[in-house]
Amino acid sequence: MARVDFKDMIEFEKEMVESQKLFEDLDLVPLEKYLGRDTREALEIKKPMATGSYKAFRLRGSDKIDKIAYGELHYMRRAKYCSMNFTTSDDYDLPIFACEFDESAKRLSITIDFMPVVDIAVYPEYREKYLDPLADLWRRYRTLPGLTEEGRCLVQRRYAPWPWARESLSPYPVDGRVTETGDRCKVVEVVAAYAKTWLGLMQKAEPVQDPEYKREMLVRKRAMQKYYRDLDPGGEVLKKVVGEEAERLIVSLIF
Amino acid sequence: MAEEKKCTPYREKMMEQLNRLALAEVTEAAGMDLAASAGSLQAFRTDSVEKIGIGCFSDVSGSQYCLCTIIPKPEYALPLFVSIWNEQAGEITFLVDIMPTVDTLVDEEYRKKYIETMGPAWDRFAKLPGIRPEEDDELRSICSIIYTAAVVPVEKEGMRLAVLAPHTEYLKSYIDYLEAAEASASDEKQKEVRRKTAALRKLLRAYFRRVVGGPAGQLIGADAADLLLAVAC
Repeated sequence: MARVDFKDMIEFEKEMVESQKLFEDLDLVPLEKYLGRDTREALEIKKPMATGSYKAFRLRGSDKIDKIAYGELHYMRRAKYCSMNFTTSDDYDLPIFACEFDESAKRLSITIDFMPVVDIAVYPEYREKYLDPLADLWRRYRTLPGLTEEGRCLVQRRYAPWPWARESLSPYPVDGRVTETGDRCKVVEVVAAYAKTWLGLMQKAEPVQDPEYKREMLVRKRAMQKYYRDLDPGGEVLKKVVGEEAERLIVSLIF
Repeated sequence: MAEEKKCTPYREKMMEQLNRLALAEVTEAAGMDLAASAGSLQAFRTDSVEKIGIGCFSDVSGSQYCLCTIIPKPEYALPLFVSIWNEQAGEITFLVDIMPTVDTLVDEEYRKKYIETMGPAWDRFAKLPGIRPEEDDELRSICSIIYTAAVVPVEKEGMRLAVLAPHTEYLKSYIDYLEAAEASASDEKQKEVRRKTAALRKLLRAYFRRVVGGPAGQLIGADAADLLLAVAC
């Protein structure tokens, strides 16, 4: 098993935002306030045990985006906790793009998914429109060593201890643990591919028209946000590392 | 003459569990006479269940396609039970699930009662060789968070019963749910359950239609295809 030094760990923001040019076609403007909090306080985090930065944006002149947020926290030069989240405003029904990308010397833990904001059994057309475009990527990347081992494919199982978190996943999550350096780089590829797919869907998105569908959608979306903001097991650790106020701000940005 | 190979006793083991219920056998489904399946398909009713369907189609080579589904009455607000078993000479492909009839991200009480209680079994069966997500995207999209699916290479005979264990264990738990259930769901909950159950049945019907149109269709036979859909969904 390869151990990776901190200096050789993936520079998440650089890889995703600069190298992949994820947002080059978008006119992003900083989102200075989110849920009543000043997001500028997250731009530079310097604590005894951790440093980092979280950035949040919206689209200039558009009501489509609630937030495009990404960031990373470096813990004692031992590990990196990186996140990326795209959420549309409540007038749109796009799934929530969620990425958790945590790297340590021993492994890279990943969960990347489009989390549906409606019940896809009841609305199969939602799955066809927003989730099925991931099918080929999912089939390709779920075979990465660590996600598939000795003929056993363990995707959909990383969140085993947290049933509420598994409930939020689509049929196409790429989740699990990858160890080898070359395979870690492939995880960057899958994050970029999922992100580009979501951004493409966002460009074509139209506002929701049906008020009953929207009501249902918001019940599910709020439930999901509440779960992640209140119960994410990383939250308690984050509180200890950066303090309660900063933790609330970061958690609201990354989910 | 080629020796007839023995299949896994799927129907026998599943019926052992189902016989805990006061089953009333029905002789037709969707207006079709089940006798036409020559015993391959059976359907039952109970006080709380609209339909229990069980079927096994096999040939002399040891290939076997089996299923068992349970669709409860909406006033009980219970999940569906779905078990699919596709056995070939050296490999068994299966899925077993307790499929929620409400949005279990939103309805926490339902999730804790019927889905999270299966968590330990789901964890234990994750150790089976060949464990993997269900391959059919549409079927996977309606599964619960505790479904178990795999393509298990059968390297020795004892493995067949080990692979059957998730089915009998999920069914045993499901029957416990049935036995404890009361017809007390509110009108609003029943409406939600009816809507989602109808959606699940439609997607299951589409899935089984793909099955009978695929390689397993040769085992099932064209004559039994419509009957299978009527019994299973």
